[in-house]
Amino acid sequence: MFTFFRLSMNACRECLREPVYYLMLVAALIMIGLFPYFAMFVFRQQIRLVCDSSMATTLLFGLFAAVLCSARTISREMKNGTVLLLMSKPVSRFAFVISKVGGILASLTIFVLVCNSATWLSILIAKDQFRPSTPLLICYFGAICLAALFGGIRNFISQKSFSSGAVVAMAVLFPVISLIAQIIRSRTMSDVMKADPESFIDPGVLLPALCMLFFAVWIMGVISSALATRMEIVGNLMVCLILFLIGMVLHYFAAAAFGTGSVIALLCTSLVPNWQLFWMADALSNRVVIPVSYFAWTLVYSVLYAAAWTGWAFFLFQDSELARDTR
Amino acid sequence: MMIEAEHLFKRYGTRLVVNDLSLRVNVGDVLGFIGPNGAGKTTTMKMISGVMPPYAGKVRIDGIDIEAEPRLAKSRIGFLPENAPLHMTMTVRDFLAYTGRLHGFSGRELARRVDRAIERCALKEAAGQEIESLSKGYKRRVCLAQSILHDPKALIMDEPTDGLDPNQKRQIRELILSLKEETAVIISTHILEEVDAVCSRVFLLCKGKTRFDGTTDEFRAKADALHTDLAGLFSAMTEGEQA
Repeated sequence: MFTFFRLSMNACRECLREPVYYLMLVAALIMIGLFPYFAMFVFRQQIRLVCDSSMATTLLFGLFAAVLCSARTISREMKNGTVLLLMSKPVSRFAFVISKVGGILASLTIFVLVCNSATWLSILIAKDQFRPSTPLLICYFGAICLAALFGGIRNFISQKSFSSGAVVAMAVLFPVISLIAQIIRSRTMSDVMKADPESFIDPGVLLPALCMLFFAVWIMGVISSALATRMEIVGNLMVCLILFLIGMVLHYFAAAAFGTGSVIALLCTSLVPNWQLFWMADALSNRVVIPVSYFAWTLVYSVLYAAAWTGWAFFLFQDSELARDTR
Repeated sequence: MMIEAEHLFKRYGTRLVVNDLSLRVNVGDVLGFIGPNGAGKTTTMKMISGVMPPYAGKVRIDGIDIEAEPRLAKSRIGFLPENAPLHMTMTVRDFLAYTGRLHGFSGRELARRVDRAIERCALKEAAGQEIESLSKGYKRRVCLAQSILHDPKALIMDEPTDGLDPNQKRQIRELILSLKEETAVIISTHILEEVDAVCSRVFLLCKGKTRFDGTTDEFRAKADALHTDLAGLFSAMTEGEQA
């Protein structure tokens, strides 16, 4: 258990230290932060637009982050021989795979947490289609700058990774700022304004929809981890993108062609992840509260799917030759 | 017997890279594992260190079957892979602490072992630096430090002095000689001078097959009998059979 924890922690740290991880996170945050301005003068649809765009950004950048993290911690280690060091220690291959997947999922959780908090903040910024909240916008981009400053100072003083310092700072700042902003907004708004769906979104509706993105990105992380045991980053990204695109439409076409509940449609749902299950933008735009049962079943689906791909990752790793460059 | 390998075979696809290899190394022995490129040295070392399972055959470390009880057997092994693969973004001290924790050390015991490994491998100046910023020689010493941190009973080193300057080579050879009192050591090398300097036994491998297994004195005597040096004997025993 301790070995698993140590290896997972190290895999997570390795991901956070990766400058590309930081750059991807900042790029996603900048996009999410600017959506309220792209959604101006849209006939009171600004919150829906910001929600849709931000969630799509999180999902897509989450996919890239998943591939990057798995390539960083599995493919590269297998290629450069670092895995030899670990496998010569009292560490089994099973523990290695499980802990690497655990570390990758932990780093992806941080990624989605920051993006979701940013989405929340961005929705609060887009309170009015003509006048986005400037103080919140300053807080939003100030948090990115402050995190970079923290990472820089930490790097200068203690020679620790800039990227990991900045990411951890963002993982603290964004949820805290979002929470404070939400509390202030809830207290300052009248009940009449809260009832207006174009200027306020209930956290009870928004939160489950954002949580669904964690499940989707975790599944991507496990799939890319399994592929990373055999593929380099480009091949991994290609296969993940194809699975992503197919998973978006396959279930619809399978149900249309073979009928909902048919064996073939069920097989499609089992083999390729149904990303539509996690996409709650439509429910959000209609202000529908996601039922607890739906949320629970999606969680079960994600866990089972992740377990199946982890097993597949272990099977591929068990049979693979280690340290191809050093042999 | 500390390291025992019996009838090892290994295939990569249809290619047989290790063919019925057996060896035994005891505490006090330093076995020089030599052979041309592609002879199967690194593959054999990976099998002995438990990183890669053999196609057939058995490996025992201190009497423990490495396939039956891998964790117990591996806790007795120190392995230095070729090219010093390390976690480049960690500092030397963090990396050694990380590998020490994987062996189950913590607290003061871990700190003591890390300090001792740093001292033995002359890494004091670089202890706080990121591994990525170190020279090739330092990286190799960091890799060596992680392999001796837990006082292994069997030390398996794949080209330990590759990339080091003459002073560093001498230091590492002195360290290996100091370790052999409590450890069975296998060194894979291309440098025959190294075999002469530190090894008590020679194991010559070519195309996965054993060509010579004896003491360094016997190897030298064989060279003398052929009126040649060690390099000449090496060529005579391996030429025309290189992969």
